[in-house]
Formats: sequence, structure tokens, C-alpha cells
Amino acid sequence: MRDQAFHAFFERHHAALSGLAFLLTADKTAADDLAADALTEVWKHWDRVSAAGDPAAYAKGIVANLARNWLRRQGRARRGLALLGLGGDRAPGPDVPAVLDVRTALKRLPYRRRACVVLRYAFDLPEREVADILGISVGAVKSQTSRGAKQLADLLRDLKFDPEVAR
Amino acid sequence: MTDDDLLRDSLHSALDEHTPDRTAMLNRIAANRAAGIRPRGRFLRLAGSGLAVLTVLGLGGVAKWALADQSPSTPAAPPPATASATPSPSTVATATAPTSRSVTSHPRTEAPPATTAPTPSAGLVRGHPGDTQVDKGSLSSTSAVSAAGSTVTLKAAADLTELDLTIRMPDTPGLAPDGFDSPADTVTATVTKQSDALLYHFVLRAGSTLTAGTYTFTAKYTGGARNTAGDTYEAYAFSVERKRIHIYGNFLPKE
Repeated sequence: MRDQAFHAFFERHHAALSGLAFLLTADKTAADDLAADALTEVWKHWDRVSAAGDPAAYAKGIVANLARNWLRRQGRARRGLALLGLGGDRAPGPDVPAVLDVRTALKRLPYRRRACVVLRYAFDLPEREVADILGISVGAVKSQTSRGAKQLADLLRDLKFDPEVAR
Repeated sequence: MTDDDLLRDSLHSALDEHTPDRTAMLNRIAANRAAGIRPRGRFLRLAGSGLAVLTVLGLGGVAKWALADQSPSTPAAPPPATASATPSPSTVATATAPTSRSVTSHPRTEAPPATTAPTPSAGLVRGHPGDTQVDKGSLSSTSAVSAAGSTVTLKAAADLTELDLTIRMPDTPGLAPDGFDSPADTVTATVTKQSDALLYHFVLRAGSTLTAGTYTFTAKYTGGARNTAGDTYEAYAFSVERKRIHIYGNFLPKE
């Protein structure tokens, strides 16, 4: 029973969980690992989680936590790189695709803002659910989202229209 | 375009850009479960990929179980990493191969393979349509159904030091095992009768090597013409290049 239920859960949600981790960390491989680790946690606590309500929200919350820990672990060296040249993510050439813009821009947001913006805009989740996932108040979600959205929109516009930044 | 639309569009397309590696995720989950430790712990990072890879590969059975659409008897927990699950002796139909065969057959309980050898104990074999991988690395496979039985032909471009091939036939009316043909003395074969299927199991004896070449494994059965659409096979191998190989497929006609 449990395995079947978990398997179904995996099929339904693994892509979204990996996608969430990807947007939070901007690292494809880490995203799969983090999502798989979160799914392991879900499996471990399946009975409690599924009884309590929404396993998907629970899993997203774990992904958010794991992603934050992972980013911290990346250490100062990488952070220094990111600050200097935004890592190796900048592809040469003038044609920076929109997707790259978002990812580089997202990286500049403080983590909680980034998480709020991603959950609200990429996953279209209501504020209430985002609050549950991140374990913060609805009010905090509102303020973090609006600040994050403004910051990200500004960054995206800069990236789009400023040839210096866009390169 | 309002900011909201801009953000929604950009983030949606960034999300769409990402395609997760489902198999890698399943393997990691299986490894996490087998390791029984907090997956985000430092230990796993320090132990490095070597341990993780070993665990994943050694627990192919667990991975299969995690992959399985429906688990048979729902074990409460995956077997520990070094456990080599064997079918209970009562289910092992003793090998009654034709005398023309030079292969000796051992029930699996008699000589469990190396601890790292994955086991098909879950009874669920990958290779269903849409879930096949008939070539991997130096090993490729083809399959055929004939009057003699169902054959899997493995073509190894490099020597194999481990091989574990399972052919699974879901029960069809009248189906009964009728031995097998194994291509080498060093490959022992068993057939196990499960409640819903026959499992033909070919294992390269520990310490032996199957030199590069083409090998045909035949699972024989009686019961006349049967629908083979549900038959599958799955093989784990380890090559001299120190590559772990996992292939799986079915017996449907290739397009």
C-alpha cells in the first residue's frame, strides 16, 4: 500500500520537485539529488505525512530547506565567483536566451524572496500554501513576494535592455 | 506586459527548460533508503560517490522494487545493503535440464552470488514496452521467441566478470517450465515459479569470466503457443572495464 502510494506520488511530483530545486539552486544535477532526498524524507514519514494532509506541500518545503542548505554548503569560493562573474553560467555571445536571464537574475535574490517568487510565479501557488511550505506567515509571503517580484522584474528588464549586462 | 506577466512567463519557461533525470532520482532514493541514513548528512558527501554507486548497484533489486508499478508482497523495508535475498527454497523448482546440456544447475539458495549482485527477488523485471534499454556500454541484447522457448542473446564487446540475467514470463494457461539452455558451463540457471510468473535466472558463477562474444540464453517451457507480450528480461553485468551494466527489454517484435 505504502509503496504503491509513494510510487504514485513520485510519478506525479518528481518533475515539479526537481524543477523547484532547479530554480532555487540553478544547478541541474543538484536539483535532482535534492528532490530525490526530499522524496526519501517523504517516504520515511509517509504515514504521518499523508495523514496530515498534503504530501506535495510537505515535499516542497523539504526541497526548499535542502536547497537552502545546499547553497550554504557551496561555500564562499563559489559565492565569490557568483558575485564576480555570476559563475560559469554566462554563455558567450550576445544572444543570451531569456531562460538564462531568469536564472542569473534569480540568483541575485535573497533566498527567501527567491523561494516566494518561484513558488508564486513558477508554480502559481496561493499565498496560503506558500506560507505553509516555507513555514512563514502569509504576511511574510506577501511582503517577500512583492519585494522579490519587483527586484526580479527590474533585473530582468536590465538584462533585456542593457547590452552591457546582457552580454 | 505587466511585471506579473513578465515574471510568470519567464519563470514558467525557466521551469520548462528543466528536465529531471527520473532514473537518477529513483536510484538516489533507493540508495538513500538502503543506506538508512539522513540523505542530506555530511557522511554521504564524504563517503563520496563510490559508496553511493556501490550501494545503488548492489541494490538493483531495491531499485527495481522502487520502480515497480505494483509491489508484490510489500516488504516493510528494503533489505540491508549486503543482504542477498534469495527466493525461499520451496519455490525453487529444481533444475531439470535436458541431459544434452553441459550446464550444471544449482538452486539459488545453494550458492548465493557475490554480495553486490543484484537480485531479482522482487520478481518484477523491467523491460516492459516503453521501459527498455537493450544496449548499454559494451553489452547489447536481442530477444526472440521460437518453438524451443524464449531466447535472449547477449553480445558482449568486453569480458564480463558478473552476469545476472532474469527472464520473466507471466503465467499463461498451461505454462510450465521445461528447462533452459545456458551458453556456458560457468553460467548456472534456475527457474523459479512464482504465483503469477515463471522466473528464469541465469547467473555467472562468482569468480568466473564470460569472455567477449555472443551468448544465447533460452528459457524453455511447455504449454503450447502462448501470448508472450508480457514477457520481459533484465540483466545486470559487470565488465572488465569495471563498468556496471544494466539492460532490460521484452520479446515484442522490434519495429
